Amino acid sequence: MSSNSAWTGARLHINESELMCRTGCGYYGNPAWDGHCSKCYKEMVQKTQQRKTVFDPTQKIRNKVSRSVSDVSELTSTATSMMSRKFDRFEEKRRQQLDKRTKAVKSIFRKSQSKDVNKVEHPKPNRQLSIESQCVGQEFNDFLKTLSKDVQVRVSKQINMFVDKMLRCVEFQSVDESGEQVHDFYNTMNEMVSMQSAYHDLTQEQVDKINELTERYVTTRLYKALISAVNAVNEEKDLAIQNRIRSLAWVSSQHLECGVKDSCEEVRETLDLVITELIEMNSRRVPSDKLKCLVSSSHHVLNLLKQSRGGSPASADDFLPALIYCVLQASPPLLHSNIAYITNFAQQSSLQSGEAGYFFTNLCCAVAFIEKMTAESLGLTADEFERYMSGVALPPNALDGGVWLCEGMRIMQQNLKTLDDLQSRMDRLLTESDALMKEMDDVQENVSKEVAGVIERTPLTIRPRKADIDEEVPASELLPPPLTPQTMESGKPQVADGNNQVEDASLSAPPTLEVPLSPDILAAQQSLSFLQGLSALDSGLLSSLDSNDKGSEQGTASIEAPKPEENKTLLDDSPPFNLSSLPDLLDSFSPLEGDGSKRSPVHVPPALDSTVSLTNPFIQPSSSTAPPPLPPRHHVGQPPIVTRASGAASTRDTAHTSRPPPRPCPQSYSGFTIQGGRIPSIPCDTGNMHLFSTPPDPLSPPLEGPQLPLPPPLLPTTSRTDNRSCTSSGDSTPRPSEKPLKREDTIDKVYNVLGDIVQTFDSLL
Amino acid sequence: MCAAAAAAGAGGTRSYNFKIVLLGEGCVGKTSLVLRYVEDKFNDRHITTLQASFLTKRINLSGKRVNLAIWDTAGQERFHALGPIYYRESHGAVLVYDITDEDSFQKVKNWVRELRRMLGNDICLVIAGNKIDMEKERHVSLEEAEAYAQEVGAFHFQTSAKQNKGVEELFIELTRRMLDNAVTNDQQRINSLTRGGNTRNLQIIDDQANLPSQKSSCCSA
Repeated sequence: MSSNSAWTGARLHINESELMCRTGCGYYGNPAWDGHCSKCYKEMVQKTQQRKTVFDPTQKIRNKVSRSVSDVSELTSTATSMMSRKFDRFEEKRRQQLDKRTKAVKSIFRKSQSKDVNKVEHPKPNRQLSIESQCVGQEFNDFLKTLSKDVQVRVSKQINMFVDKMLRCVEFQSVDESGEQVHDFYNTMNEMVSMQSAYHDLTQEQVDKINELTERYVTTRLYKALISAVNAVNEEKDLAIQNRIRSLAWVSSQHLECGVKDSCEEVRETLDLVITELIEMNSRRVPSDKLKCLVSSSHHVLNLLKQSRGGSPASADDFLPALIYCVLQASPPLLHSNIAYITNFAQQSSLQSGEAGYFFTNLCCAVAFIEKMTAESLGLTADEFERYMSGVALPPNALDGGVWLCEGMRIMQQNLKTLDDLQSRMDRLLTESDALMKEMDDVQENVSKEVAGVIERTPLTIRPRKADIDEEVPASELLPPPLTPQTMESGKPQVADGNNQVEDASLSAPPTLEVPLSPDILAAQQSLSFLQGLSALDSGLLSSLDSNDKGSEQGTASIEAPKPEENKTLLDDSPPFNLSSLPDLLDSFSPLEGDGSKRSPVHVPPALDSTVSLTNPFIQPSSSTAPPPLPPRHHVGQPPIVTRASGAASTRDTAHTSRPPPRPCPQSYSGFTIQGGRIPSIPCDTGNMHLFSTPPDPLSPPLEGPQLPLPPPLLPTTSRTDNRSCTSSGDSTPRPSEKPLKREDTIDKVYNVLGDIVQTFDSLL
Repeated sequence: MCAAAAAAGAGGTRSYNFKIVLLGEGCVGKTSLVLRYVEDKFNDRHITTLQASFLTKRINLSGKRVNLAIWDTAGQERFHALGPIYYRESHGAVLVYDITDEDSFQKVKNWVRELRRMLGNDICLVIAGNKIDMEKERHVSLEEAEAYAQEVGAFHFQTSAKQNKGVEELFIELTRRMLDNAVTNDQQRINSLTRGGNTRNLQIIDDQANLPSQKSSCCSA
């Protein structure tokens, strides 16, 4: 009723109807009873409870049981029959207990299982094995199979026993205790394997291998338990060192004086390797694997030092600071946990000696140093250190030299650099490709030009020649008069002949390309040999004459002039165009040049020469064939206008004639003369280019007789190209011709003329 | 201390492993000394090892095979505090000073004090006065150094890594000492081990007896 009075107090706000029992029994209801009066609520609750006990609970229990049964049945196939029996019994039990609390069912089920189905529990740990432990187990088994049965059984028994024991107790003891147990186990294993008589026949390697695999297997199997224990203990330390390293991110290699030039790309890459290995360490399960990571990372540190400084091997004085720097840069995760894990569960022998032990010690030192680092140890003032640590200020140079506080910045910088590099390479590629294009164009142009030139020349030279030769012969026959000047003295003409012959040889040589001219080669060879003989003769003759020195010099010079060109032609085929052309030019174009202002003085004599040359053959009767062909050619030369050319031609002809094969020579000559007469302008166009290269050669070169016989292939065409070159050869021809007139005077004249020519050459060049 | 040596040495035929730390101020020539000993090279481009911080050397001394692991330490003052991490578990220490540098000798004295305090007499000490090729600039008298070495029970050697003087002798003497130490320790250890080891083994056998019986029954069933 007191509650009622309370309600009355609230009546002001609430309708009476709302306070009544929902069922409408006339009593007041209560919100705590869902708005029912006490009586009605009791009834209602009873009803619902009844319903539940009848339907719901059974269903639930059935579900649960069936599920657990299926679970269990999965566990072992062998025990199914037993199980089913058990479960039959169990079902009965269940029914009996149906009225009791449903939760009890499960606990009973568990109890019954553990009691009755002992075997079911056993395979469980096997199922839980991780892939890693399976692998390690496999590896161990494989290795054990190589040992004797006895050892195999003992070792595996020991290890499995220990692992089972550890699995059970590791959760309830400290890391140090587990570590001690593990170490004890390692020691007993080691002692057992190395001391006991049963293992006597094991080699040292096998013992080591057993030890190693023991460690591997034990730590892999126990990894989860061990590492979680270690992590739990070292969590705070891990966090602390992580924060410490982060706040020390500004520390540069200069601060540590470790001499790591981290601005260098190569060094930076090695540093990345170090960092990768340091971080990788955390992901390994076996202490020895972790140590391996550490060792390889330390080797990278040493590499880093070598790259940075070069020279002598790194000592600890360099290594430790560098390692500290790398640890700061890498900020490896769970550093303390890893160190603790390794110290507790690695084989002591590997930790106390050997490289791994040394580097591990160094890592410990690095961590200790990082933790205790003070302003003093970095060579900073306390104030500076404080400011840097709190992030208020950055040390100078923090942002340059590649010490990037932010990895992203560094990568960006690196990428920019790479892009720059790519850009420059791209530019280079483009320019080079442009150049190549240009070059190709040029080449095409040149080739087409040359081809055009060749095409232009060849038809002219080849076709007309044949025709000319035929025509010429008659024409030359008509022109005997040029021979008249033959009266010249015998001595000089020889020189002239020599020159002419040389030219002839060169002339005769070129036509070889064309089948009809091939005989010229023979002629050239013969003329060469003759020339050699002549040159000797000349020198002798000249010396006998008044002007010994000069004459001989001139003779030699004149002889020389053509030869070098020939040599060249012989040596190089393609460029020789010009060179090879020279001799031809001389012959064919000397007339043309004669027309040119320069030549005129020189050419006057040639006519004389021609006569001289003519005389030569007569003088030297050795060449019997010479006389007959001569007349026609002379005829050609006869016309006064052409006299020089014809003269020159005739001289050459005579030279040829003096040699056995007279025919070819005349042909070439006639061709040239005709060409010269007909196509005076052509040589000038094409020849200009070549002049430059040729002139120096004729002047200097030594006598090289033997090469003469080899004919330059392109001569006929090229002959026109080099007008100037002709001049040099032309020089040679005129000189001798002058000599016969008045030896000394003419020699002087020739000198003058030669000088002029040389000058003109120089000016041209 | 002798865990490694004992484990290896107990077998008789197996070799001894000794850990030697090089201590001394920076630039006194620790690295040159050990490089001279291990590689017989000084300031040479042909030095094969990438590093001189950790080097090993195998020698045969009075019929026993000995593996020396020589640990270089960073000599800078700021790393002095890390010393204990380096020299724990070591069998011998080479304390190097520069005869032209009085301070480096003082440093050696500090190290000796610290080592004796931390490791007692287990560790064999050798003091090396390096750079005797620079005799003219000597600042540490030979008498003083030898007297001090005698006082603390250490050997004193005068060495020159450059001229290869006294280096080999130094390491041989140190090894001899460590061997003596190890052999006596082994005797004691073996004596105690035979008992201790047995008890330990027995314990484990006990465990074995319990568990395997269960297991085997399980398996057979």
